[in-house]
Amino acid sequence: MGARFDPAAGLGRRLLADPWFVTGASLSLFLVLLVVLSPWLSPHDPHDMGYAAFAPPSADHWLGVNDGGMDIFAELLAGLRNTLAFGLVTASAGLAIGILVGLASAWFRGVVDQVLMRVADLLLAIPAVMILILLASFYRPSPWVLALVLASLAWPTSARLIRSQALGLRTRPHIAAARQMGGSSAYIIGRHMMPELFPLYLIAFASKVRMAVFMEASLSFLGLFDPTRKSLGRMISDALPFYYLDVWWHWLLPPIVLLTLLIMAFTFLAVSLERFFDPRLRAAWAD
Amino acid sequence: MNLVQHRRNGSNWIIRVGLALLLTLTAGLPAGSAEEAVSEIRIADGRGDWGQPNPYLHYPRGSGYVRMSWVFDTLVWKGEDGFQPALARSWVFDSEMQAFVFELQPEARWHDGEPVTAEDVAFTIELFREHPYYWIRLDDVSHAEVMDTHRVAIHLHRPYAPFIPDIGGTMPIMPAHIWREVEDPNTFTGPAAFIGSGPYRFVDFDPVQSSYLYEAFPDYYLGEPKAGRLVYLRAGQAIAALRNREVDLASIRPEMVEPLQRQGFEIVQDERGWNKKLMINHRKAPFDERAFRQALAHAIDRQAIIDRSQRGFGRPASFGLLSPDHDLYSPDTPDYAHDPERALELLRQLGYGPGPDGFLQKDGEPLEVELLVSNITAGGQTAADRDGEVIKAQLERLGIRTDLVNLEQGSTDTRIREWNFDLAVSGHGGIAGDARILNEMISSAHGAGSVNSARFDAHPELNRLLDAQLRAMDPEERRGIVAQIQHLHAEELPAIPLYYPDAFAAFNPDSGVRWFYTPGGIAKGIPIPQNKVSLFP
Repeated sequence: MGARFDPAAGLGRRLLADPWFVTGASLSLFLVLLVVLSPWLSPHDPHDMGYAAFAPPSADHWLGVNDGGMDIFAELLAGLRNTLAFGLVTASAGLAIGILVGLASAWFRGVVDQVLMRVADLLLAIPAVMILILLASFYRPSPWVLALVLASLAWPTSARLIRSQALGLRTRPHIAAARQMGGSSAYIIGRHMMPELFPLYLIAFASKVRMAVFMEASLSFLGLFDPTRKSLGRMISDALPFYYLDVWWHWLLPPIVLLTLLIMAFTFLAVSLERFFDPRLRAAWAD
Repeated sequence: MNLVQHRRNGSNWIIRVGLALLLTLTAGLPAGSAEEAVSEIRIADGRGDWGQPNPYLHYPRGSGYVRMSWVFDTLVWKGEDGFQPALARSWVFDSEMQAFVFELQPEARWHDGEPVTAEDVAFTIELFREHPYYWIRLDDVSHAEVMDTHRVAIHLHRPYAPFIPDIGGTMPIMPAHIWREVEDPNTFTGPAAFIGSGPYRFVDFDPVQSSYLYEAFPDYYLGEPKAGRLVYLRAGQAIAALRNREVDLASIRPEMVEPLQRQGFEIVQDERGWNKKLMINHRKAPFDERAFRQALAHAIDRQAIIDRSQRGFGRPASFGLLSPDHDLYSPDTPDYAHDPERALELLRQLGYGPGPDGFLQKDGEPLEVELLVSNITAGGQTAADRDGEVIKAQLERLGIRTDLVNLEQGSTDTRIREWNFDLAVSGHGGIAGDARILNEMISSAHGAGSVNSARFDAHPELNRLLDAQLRAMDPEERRGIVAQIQHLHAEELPAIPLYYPDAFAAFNPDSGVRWFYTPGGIAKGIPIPQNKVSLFP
């Protein structure tokens, strides 16, 4: 590798020049704005079944009305909010666990490292989707509990990424100096290592949101959540049986498009951030 | 191995050219008969797997029975105009002997070539007594007497009014020469387990594709069936399967009627033979209070469920359970108008009042109910609906906090069977068939095996009447008793009948087969338009 890489140098300028980042960030911003502005964008209650079933799009119902007499646009916004919230909660919790495990493994090494990494290996071998389907079918936990369960299964990839970088960081002179000066493990991890690996968290976070959003859509498509809970996956599942009517373009298509945009947004961000901050890809970028 | 052959679109042009040549050559010839043999008939099914087609292996729902009915014949069979001869060419009730005497078709053969005899009928009674078959109850049958090779008398302990629909027209006759040696019929799965005397021989069931293949039995005593092969295919999207000519018959949603009619498909509509109903766990508080159940009936707006969940395609059900299309339906059955005020009044009388959160409570305990819903398979079509959402909204408007739980149908059935539920949306047919359905759907003595039975034994008079209607051989006497049963069911509400969804099926008339919904339903009352009579020559 050539000159030492400083990820912070000219970061904003370089990110804004990256079409992947710009597309991902723009899409994310658009979707977040949709969620934030939803009370003003749609005056209808997404659970109100009081409208004429299958009414076509109109000034009052931008995307028409579904089979149950509910405003599709209001349902779409509520579904986007729930799907996105599930993704963000899962990614935040999964990342928090990943950071703690990754840093603890790298710092303490020895038995701690061995045990934590074997647990990670074990979890990587377990298909999370099956665990979630079984849990949702038999115990019907709230979506938040399912999000936390998914987070508890999804941390190993970020933990391993963070551990591998933290192992290198551990031997750096400033960390050694901090130890020489009597800094405790908690102080060094919290004050030095955790902030210095920050760019990796962004990569891990974006890829976890993407995974969790897809998982939530799949579970709700399968009808494993409360049937009254709005979700993009549930909307697709509700609309599919009526595909033969002329409703597909304003009922079936919007949740599919929104779900695709959501996944694309976080995929683009993850790809872009990886190119900038993941040391494994950095060489190619630096060259 | 999947023996079902799929059409190959790639060779379509060869077939078309061939057909054109054939048409040119035959243009001058007289038109052929409309009753010409068809090589294959394909029927779509939303679920697919209904078990293997014999009495001990099919799933205990209507679609499973119909799969079996192609292979195993009964003594009599219900067609479009009521009961008609099947294995028995004639029958008579001998009141002195208190027995039904059947004269069998001398030409009837089992699929292995053996003749069907009175011995087989007598053996079937013994078999189902020793190894009960879910669909048949023989409590009132004393014994079967073989009078000669083709005459058999089935003696009764006591009068049994629904004998013909319930036993004669539902009980599959089993080959004694095969089943006599079988120790455990529930585990007998060899090829001989599917030898019947029906119009079709069972050839293959593919559990992966959930497809069934039957072949016509050429020696069938009523003549060789119209179609050489009968195939059931799992098809999630019935309209696409019909349009692509992958299937000839499918149950369809009401919204599909118009587009399919435009494309030349023939549409048939069922009578009110199937009802959605709200199962109630009346063995636990507060559902054990009649007034509470009546409050639920007033709280639920059934027309709103039909409008919101079925897009208006349905009709509110009679609280007496029997279909208004039934001969013995009583128009005097009590009704519960949608009246939230009356519902609240009843709940107040039971001690419920609004809590700090606006929901009802009693002695500080919130009133919370769990409502189970599933995608129920009706008429071969599994469809999601919004019944649960609408009922939840209606109950919560009244102040009853409702936890809506969506489960796979089998899980809901299990929880109902084990009394591990509060309320559950379920449904069943049979309500336009014989009035014995009232016994099965109300009393645990008659319907303990049915997941849709309320198993309600808390009202001795109701139970007495249920028994009495079975003994009333005089039709008018029976009509009076059945009217009282409907009245009491509506008062007690062990379950709340909700509505009759409009049921439609579409078929391709070019296949030369005309399908129909059997008045009163197939056998005991199955509202599926797959009556084997359609394929009789």
